[in-house]
Amino acid sequence: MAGEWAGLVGAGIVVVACVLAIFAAQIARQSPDSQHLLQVLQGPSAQHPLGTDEVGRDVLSRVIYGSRIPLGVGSAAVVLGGAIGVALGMISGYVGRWVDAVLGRVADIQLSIPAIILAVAFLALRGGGLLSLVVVLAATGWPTYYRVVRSHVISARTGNFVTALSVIAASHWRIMFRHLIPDALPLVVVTATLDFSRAVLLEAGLSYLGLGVQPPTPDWGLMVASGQTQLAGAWWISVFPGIALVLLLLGINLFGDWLADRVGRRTRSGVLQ
Amino acid sequence: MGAVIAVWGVLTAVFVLLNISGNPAVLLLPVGAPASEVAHLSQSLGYNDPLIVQYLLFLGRTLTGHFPNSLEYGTPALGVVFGHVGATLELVASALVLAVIGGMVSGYVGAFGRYGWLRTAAVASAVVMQSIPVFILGVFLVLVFSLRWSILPASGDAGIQALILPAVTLSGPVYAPIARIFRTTLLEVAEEPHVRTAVAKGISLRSVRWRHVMGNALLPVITVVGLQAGTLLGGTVIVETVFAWPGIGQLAILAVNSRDYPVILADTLVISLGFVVANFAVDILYMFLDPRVRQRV
Repeated sequence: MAGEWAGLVGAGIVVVACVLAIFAAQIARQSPDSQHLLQVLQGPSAQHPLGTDEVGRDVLSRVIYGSRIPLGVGSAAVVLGGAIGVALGMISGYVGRWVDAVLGRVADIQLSIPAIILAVAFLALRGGGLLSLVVVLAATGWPTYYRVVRSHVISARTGNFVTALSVIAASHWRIMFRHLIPDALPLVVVTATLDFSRAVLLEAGLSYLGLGVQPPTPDWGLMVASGQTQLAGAWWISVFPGIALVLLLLGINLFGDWLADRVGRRTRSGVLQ
Repeated sequence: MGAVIAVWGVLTAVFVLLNISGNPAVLLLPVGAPASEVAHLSQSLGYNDPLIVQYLLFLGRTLTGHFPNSLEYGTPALGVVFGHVGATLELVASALVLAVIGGMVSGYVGAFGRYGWLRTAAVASAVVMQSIPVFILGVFLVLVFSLRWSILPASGDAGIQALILPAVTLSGPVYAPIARIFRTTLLEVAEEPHVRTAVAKGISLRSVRWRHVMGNALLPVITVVGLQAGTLLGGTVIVETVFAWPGIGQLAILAVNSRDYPVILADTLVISLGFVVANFAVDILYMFLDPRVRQRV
């Protein structure tokens, strides 16, 4: 759609965010947690380029460290949800019959509950924490992988190369893991990119609501929420982490769109929605 | 049929949530209730029975409208939730209208805009809107319209003015996919033979686009609205919290903060059922609009 440069810019943003997350300790000039009660609510200055928050912490340092939770939790959720979805989709498409019917229904039901309300209820009843967050993001993400892989396997199963493999007496495991999964990999990668964007978005929303990571952990969603009460006087506390989050999501989406075009799917239609 | 299974699935999910942390009776009583009271409630509600019996009891009670009482209000939790449905419907309906109108205008401009920069701007707006989480959009709008310019209230439910910012915010993430699908479909339909025929007959380009292209590009928009109904309903949880809009979304978060578990579960149930109903409505709408689907049924 927007061409090669958009994908490049997107990939660039994601790489920068990853570098910030990994080398936060080397890049940030100040500790994200050290409070300076004589320097609270200061606007952007040379010493604090993005200002300070209500307890005098450096917003720039917190924005840098704040990239860790969305990227870490998002990646973990994509790996977990992707593994579940790909495995079940493979089984569903390959075995067919009642297995397919049952798994398909489970995926439908999963998709018939809006992810955020399910996440809110789960985190409220089960308690927050990083693990719960990853679990709930994966649990709401797997059906997309499931559908993509299942429909791919169904169309590939009757294809020539699978028939050829059966003829040479290849085992089912070999057909599934050595051939069908690599065959579906480009689609899975596209799905994972879109799911990563969804996971980061949901993590930020849940942290904003106070159900994700807890203070004083630096996290963009949480920072936007905590700065909201100071919006009239100290807009920078909310606005900068908000911009960081928008940029990251924009990067992932631009890269994802470019990838989807490359893989030759019609952009964002059907199962990839 | 699909809707019935979805309802059953939602009920089952709520049952699982209810049992996820052990004894549900603990959740249904105020924090720190004496053990004797917990034991008594477990006994009377059948929470000591085998899980399958509890499950069937839960299904039966919920389907007949019996749901545990709210801890905060002392009245049935489902009733508390239904008391807030009106405000949410008002918000969701306004956001939907805004998203559909905005998305279609943007999609049309993106496809047929007169100037290249105009088309690019329309496409870019969809990509950018897709990347802005609702709470950030909400906070930015409050910053500009309520604090900088003070032309719109930042919270509350006083009249149409208070509705504008929440509705615009909630429409954001739905606007983007509508704009994108409408643009793509318009461009596809414009290539079809019947459109070429209409142009060849001498009908003006504008009239061809409005009559022959737009009509055929509407169905994918409806599909997207169905797919995004979850975004819209789920988005109320965040948007209503940002703007203190007194609907079921804000109620869910207030219930979380006061540990009012029955209300959390009832809220989950109502929002999920709302989503099922929305998808069912989209299917029906499809039937009215698409002659091919009508014939198959």
